[in-house]
Amino acid sequence: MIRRLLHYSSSRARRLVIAELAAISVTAVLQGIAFLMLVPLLRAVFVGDMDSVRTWLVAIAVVGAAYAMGYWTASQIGMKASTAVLDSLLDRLGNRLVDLPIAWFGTDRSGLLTEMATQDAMFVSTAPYSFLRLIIIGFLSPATVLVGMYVVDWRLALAMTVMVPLMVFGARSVRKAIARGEADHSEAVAGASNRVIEFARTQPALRAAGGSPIAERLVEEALQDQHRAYRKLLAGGGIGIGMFTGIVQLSLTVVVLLGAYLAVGGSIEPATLVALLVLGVRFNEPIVTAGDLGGGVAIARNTLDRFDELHAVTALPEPDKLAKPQGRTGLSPRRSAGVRRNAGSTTGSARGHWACSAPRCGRSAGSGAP
Amino acid sequence: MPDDQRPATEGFFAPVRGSLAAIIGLSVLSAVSSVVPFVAMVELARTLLPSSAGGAVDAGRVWAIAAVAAVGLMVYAGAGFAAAVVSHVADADLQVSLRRRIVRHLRRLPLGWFDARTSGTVRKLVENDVSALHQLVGHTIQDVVTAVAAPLVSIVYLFVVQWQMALAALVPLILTAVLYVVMMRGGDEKYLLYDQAVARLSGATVEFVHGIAVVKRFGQVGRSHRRYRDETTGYVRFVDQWTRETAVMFTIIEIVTSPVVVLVYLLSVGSWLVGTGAAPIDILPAILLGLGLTAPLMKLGASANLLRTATKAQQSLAEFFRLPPIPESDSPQRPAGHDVAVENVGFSYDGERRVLHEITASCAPGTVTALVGASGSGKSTLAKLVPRFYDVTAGRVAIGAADVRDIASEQLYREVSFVFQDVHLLRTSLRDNIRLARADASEAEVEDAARAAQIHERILRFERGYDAVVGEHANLSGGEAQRVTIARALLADAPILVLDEATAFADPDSEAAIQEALSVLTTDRAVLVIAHRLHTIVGVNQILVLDGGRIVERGTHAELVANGGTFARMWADYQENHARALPRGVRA
Repeated sequence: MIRRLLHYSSSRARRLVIAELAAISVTAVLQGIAFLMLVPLLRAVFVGDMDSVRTWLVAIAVVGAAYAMGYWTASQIGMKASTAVLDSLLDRLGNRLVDLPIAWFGTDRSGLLTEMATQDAMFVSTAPYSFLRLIIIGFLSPATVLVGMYVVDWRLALAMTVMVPLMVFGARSVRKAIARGEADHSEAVAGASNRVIEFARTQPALRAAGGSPIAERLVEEALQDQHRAYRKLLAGGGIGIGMFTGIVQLSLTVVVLLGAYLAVGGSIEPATLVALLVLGVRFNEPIVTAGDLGGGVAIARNTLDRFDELHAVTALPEPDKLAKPQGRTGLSPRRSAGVRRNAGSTTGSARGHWACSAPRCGRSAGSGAP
Repeated sequence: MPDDQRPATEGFFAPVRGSLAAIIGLSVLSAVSSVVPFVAMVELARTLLPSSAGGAVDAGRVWAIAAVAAVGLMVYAGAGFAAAVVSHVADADLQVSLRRRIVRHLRRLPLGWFDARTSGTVRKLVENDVSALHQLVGHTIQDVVTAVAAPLVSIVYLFVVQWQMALAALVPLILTAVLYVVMMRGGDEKYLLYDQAVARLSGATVEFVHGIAVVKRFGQVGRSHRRYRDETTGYVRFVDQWTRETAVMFTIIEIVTSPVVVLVYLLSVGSWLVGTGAAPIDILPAILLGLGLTAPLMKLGASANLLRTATKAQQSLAEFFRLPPIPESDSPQRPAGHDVAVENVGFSYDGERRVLHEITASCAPGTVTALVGASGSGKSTLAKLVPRFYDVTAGRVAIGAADVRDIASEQLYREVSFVFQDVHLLRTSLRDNIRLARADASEAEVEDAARAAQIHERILRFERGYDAVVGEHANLSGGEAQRVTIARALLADAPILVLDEATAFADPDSEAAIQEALSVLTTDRAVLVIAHRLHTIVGVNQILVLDGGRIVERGTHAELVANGGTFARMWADYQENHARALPRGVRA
């Protein structure tokens, strides 16, 4: 996805986005390190070694300061990057339109293009900061913690490691379930709104028909279709999200129970264990946050798809090799119209449901952890 | 549906009111149980730490605490998940109920409301606005409850354990709230400016797109492209400036509330407290819970913009439902007979400028009345008053001595059918399109009507015949579509027919067929026809000539031509300009 985003950026925007992502990665690792330092520090607090506490406190403060600086840098670069991406997206869109064959404008595309210029471009340009960042942090920060955990206590670290592929699997199945239901739902939404619009447009004829049962049936069926598809999306997405939430909670439970087991067995120093448990319950939060963003990723993909499709239209071979001199504008009406028809049918619908909820809809119940 | 009777603005969320209690209850349960595992962790530490001094571990207690933690986790996740499910199902129900309500309201709006803009308006309502409410019902209720309940429970617990630490944990929360308010100040104005910038960019894009097809042929896309460029530059500059203005504050908030910074801060305070003699175990709760206090608040802030969209959508839906439906009489009358009487009618679209003045005319069964006049003369408006597209401003339109406003809608449309220029075909089978008014019509009746409307043969040429779906298997020309609507009117068999004669179609055959179809339609009925081509009305019983919203002449063709007035001039003009273009066989 990052690669696709960079594809539509000017070289300046590209440099800025890469710098932004690099800065974010650094802060993510620093966050993991700060969390790790919690273990020796808390241990020192519990055993009353105040000299050690002071040392670790200074160390963690230094890491914290570096983190804040990194964050600030990432955000400053991110700001410039998103403006640069927005600028290049709009610029490219404009240039593309000039190059498009006239036939492409045969049907009215102004609605679609306006949406691309305003909502879509804005969404894509803020994507690196608004959710790519959270995804990067969601992976790098726990990974750092995990690596460090092995140094302190391999058993708890192993237990957590085992949960990671499960979580990744869970997050992926959420995304798949939502994407599947979303496709049906989008279609149903488009179907329902087209029926209602038809119902409005043909209202004079329907009135004349004295409240036509045929038309009423068509509208009602479309509405029910949409309702059914939405419920199916919720059921599918719900099962996925429920599973993901379950996995996350299971991982916490495993950590707690394993901790209890180790404590009872006396095979670990209590102060270290408590510190590790604190780390354990806080460890998966960034993963949960990242898992929440499935919906956002889906929208970002759809949005980039629209830009790709527009790009594909122009990429059609232009007949400038033809002997006829007027072939300059490169009409290839039949094929270009075909490409677009696809795009048109999926776009309006996808936003209906998601545009409002943006990256937050695929949210799991286990995300508001205090 | 019961909410049909309620005033438009009320009962908006009625279908989901029942779910509200469940959503709130489950969210509170989830928020409260979210604190349980952390409390358990502290208790575990309390049990374990004394053993580092060599004491024995109370295994039973450890397992009990672990069990409580596990149950807490389960309840927290389960209740939160359930709340999300309930609120999304409620959202699904709300959406379908709102869309149904839109349909119901559409059914009752005056026909005059339905014009060219309708499609866009309805699409926005049914697609964007209804979906925008998703945020409100699907997420915001739960978010708000969580953002209030979880920190509240946490803070109460912290104060019970150790008040200094609790106070310290409160600081980032308060700081966030204050910074947020500062950041949001003047936000509304900025949003307004943003909306304007978006509108300008949209305008430039539309102009660019619309202009391009025309302009491109001549190789001068330059100007509209330049305007688009200028607008994008302005837009990007605005966005850039706005981001810069808010970014500093926003980044500060994010850094202040980031887990790392809060952690360092709480650890410093905690270590200091331990240094002054506090029990080490008592600073643990604040470190565990303090990290997550601001997260729900931040989440709420992030959804503020989505909420703004939802509120706007709600307003535009409420506005739509407030549109007054067509007034129905409390004591409906039955028309006695099928003659149409227009008595002293005046009409104005906007309540200020009259487009019809003192029109009086009648139209008996078995006769044809033609309305002629230049465009803007009011002939279409007059014709549309009979089937109540609009209600008169003065005077009355009556059918069988009953004012059309006093006739129940269903009865009215049994009396009047109409064929106007804009053809309304549904995306369904041709059969259903023809028997729209009479779903119970037999196959033979449908075919008879189609035959009479000169469209039967054409329909049979589709692979699926009468089952061909309009727009999918059957693409009809304008003239063909018109004939389908004529077949529809024939099948409806209303005693009064208002029709707008089709404007010139490209092929003469189609026109001849339409004329033939119309001639069947007009027998034995009271017919009011808006005429565009004067040769078609040579033989009608009565011609009304309109000019500037008044009837300036009336009579038969022969009378009016002999009169030498407005119509005679129009006729002479018409013959000169159009006679050559007429199809064979329709020459007067």
